[in-house]
Amino acid sequence: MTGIGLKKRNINKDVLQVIILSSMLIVIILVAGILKPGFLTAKHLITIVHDTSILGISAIGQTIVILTGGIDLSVGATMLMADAVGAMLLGGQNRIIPILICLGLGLLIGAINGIGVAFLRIPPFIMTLGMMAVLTGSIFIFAKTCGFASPILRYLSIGKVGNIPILIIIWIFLTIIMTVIMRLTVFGREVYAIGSNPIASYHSGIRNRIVIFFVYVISGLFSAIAGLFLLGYTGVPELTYRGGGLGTDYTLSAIAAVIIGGTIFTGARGGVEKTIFGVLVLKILFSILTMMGMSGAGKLITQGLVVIVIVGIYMKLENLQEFSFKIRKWRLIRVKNS
Amino acid sequence: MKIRKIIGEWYIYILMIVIWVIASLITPYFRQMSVFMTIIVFSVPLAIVALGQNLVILSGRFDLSVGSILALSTVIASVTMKNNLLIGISLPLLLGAVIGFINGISISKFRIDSFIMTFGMMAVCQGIGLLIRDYPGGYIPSGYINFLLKETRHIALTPLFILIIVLLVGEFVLKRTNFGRAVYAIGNDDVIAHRSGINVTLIRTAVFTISGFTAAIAGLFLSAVMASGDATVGSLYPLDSITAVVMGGTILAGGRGDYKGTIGAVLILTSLARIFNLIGVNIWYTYIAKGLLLLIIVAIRMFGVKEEREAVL
Repeated sequence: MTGIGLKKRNINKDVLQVIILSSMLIVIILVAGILKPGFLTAKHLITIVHDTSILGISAIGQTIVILTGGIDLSVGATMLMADAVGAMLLGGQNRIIPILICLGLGLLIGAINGIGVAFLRIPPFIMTLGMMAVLTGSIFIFAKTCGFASPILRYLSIGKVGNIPILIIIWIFLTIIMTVIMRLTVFGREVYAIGSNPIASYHSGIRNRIVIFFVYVISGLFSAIAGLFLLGYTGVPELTYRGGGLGTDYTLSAIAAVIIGGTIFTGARGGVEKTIFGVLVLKILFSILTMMGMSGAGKLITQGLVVIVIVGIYMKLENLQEFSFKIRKWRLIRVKNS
Repeated sequence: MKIRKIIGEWYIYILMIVIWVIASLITPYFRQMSVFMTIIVFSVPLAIVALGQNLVILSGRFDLSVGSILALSTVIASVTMKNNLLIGISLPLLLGAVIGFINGISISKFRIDSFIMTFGMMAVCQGIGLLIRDYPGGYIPSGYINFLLKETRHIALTPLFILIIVLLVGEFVLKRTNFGRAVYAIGNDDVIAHRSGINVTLIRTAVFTISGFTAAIAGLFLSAVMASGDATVGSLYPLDSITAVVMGGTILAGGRGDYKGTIGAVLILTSLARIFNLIGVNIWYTYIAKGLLLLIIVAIRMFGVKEEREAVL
C-alpha cells in the first residue's frame, strides 16, 4: 500500500533529463533567435541539423559502447580512415566495391577492438587508444589525400528530398533502428545487463564476450558509415591531425555528446535515442557561438563549461534521487514503527 | 620464481635497453651522446606530467587536462617572465594547482566523472591559453634557459638531474608515505578505503591538485626548451602520459603499479621518434610502433592475470 503511494513521488531521472535538455535547446534557440533574427528560420535550423548528422551517426556506435561500460577512442580515426580510403578508391566514380571495402575496414577495426577487449581482456580505453595510434600512423603512411566522392555518395550526403536533407533522414532512420535493437531485442537487453553488472550477467547465462565483441564491431561499422558520409559531405578527404591522434576532435565530440545526452560512463543508463539531444545541444550551441562572432578560444571555453555544468546538473539529479530514496526509507521506517 | 618477479618489475627497462641496443646496431648516429641528451631533454616534460598522471591513474581516475594546463603554463610564463622571473615561475605553478584543485573538488565532492570533467577543463584551459596568446611567441629570459639546458661537454646536466630527482620523489611518495599508501588504497576500493578511515575526498582532491601542479612544472620546463609560449603545445600530452603510465605497468583501474616503470616507458616513447628519425624511416611509423607496443605489453600482462578472469567476463 505504502509502496504504491510513494512510488508516485519518486523522481524519474530520465524524464527530468529529457525535460532539461529539451528546455535548454528551446531556450538556446529562442535567445539566439532574438539576438540574431536570421537564426530562427526553418532553413537555417535544418542546415544546422544537417551539419549535426555526421557526428550523430558516429555517436550512435559510441553510445552502445559506453552503455556496456567501455569507451571507444578510435571512432574519429576510423571515420577519417573510411574517409581517406573511400576517396582514394572511389576516384569520383560510382563504384560499390570501394564502399564495401570501407565498411569492411570499419568492421575489421571494430572486430580487432572487440577481440582485444573481450578475449584478450585489454581495458577498452587502452585497446582503442592503441588502435587510434596504429590507425593514425598507417593512414599517414599509406593513404594519400587524393580522390573525390562518388556522385551517389555526394547526393546522399548533401541532396534533399523536398526541403529535408537525405542525411538527416538517414540519421533518424539509423537511430530508430538502433533504438529498437537496444530496447526491444535480446541483444540490447544483454548490452544493458552487462553494463549494469558484468558478473551478474555472466552468471545469468549471458555470453558477455560475444556481446561485447559485437558492440565494438557495431561501433566500428557506424564510424565507417559516418566517415563515408563525411566524405560525401565535404567531397574531398580531410585528414585532421590534432591532439595526439587522427580525428581526436570527432572522437571527443562524440563522447561529449553521448554524455550530455544522459548516458553515463559506468554503463547501463541512457540510450541511443537520448544521444540525439546531446548531439543537437552541442552543435547548436557551437553554431550560435559562431554566429555571435566568438573566437575559437571563447568557443572552447564555453564548450568546456557547458559540458561540465550539464554533467554537474545530472550528478545533482542523481543525488536528488538518492535523497528521495532516503526520505522514502525513512518514511517506511516511521510507518513500520507507528 | 625470483627471476620472474624481477622481470615482472623491470621489464620496461629490459625492453628499453633492447630497443637502444638494436637502434645503435642499426645506425651509428644513435651512439652519439647528443642523441641521448636530446632524448633526456624531451623526456623530462613527459616524465613530470606522467608523475601526476600516475598518481591520478593509481587512484582510479584519468586526467585529460594535463596537456592544456601545461600549454597554459608555457603561455603565462612567456607573458610574465619578461617583468619578473619569480612571478613568472610562481604564477603558472599556482594556476596549475588551482585548476587541479577545481578538477579534484568537482570529481571527488560533486562526483562528476573524471573523464568528462577533465575533458571540459581541457577545453577551458586551452581556450584561456588561446585568449592570452593565439600564436606562439613571447619572451623567456636567456639566463633561465641557460640554467635549465646548459650543456657542459655535450652533457646537459640539469635535465638529467631533474629526471633523477623526479624519479626519486615519485617513488618515495608512492612507496614510503602515508599519502602514497592512501592513493593505492583508494585505487583498489574507495569504499573500503573510506571505511578504514581514509579521507577519500581529501586524498582525491590532493591527487588532482598535484597532477595540475606537475603539469605546470612541465610547462615551465618546456617553455625553456621552446624559448617561447604556445597555447597548442600540450595536445599530445594527455594521451601520451596515459600511454606511458599504462606501459610502465600501472593498472588503468587503479591500485597497482609504480613510478619507475613509467619513467622507463617515457624514455622508450621519446626515443622511438628519435630512432625512426635517425634510421630514416617515415616518422608516422612511430605511431604504429607506439600503439602496437602498448597493446602487446598490456595483452601480455593481462594474460598473466588469472584471478580476474571471472570478474571481468
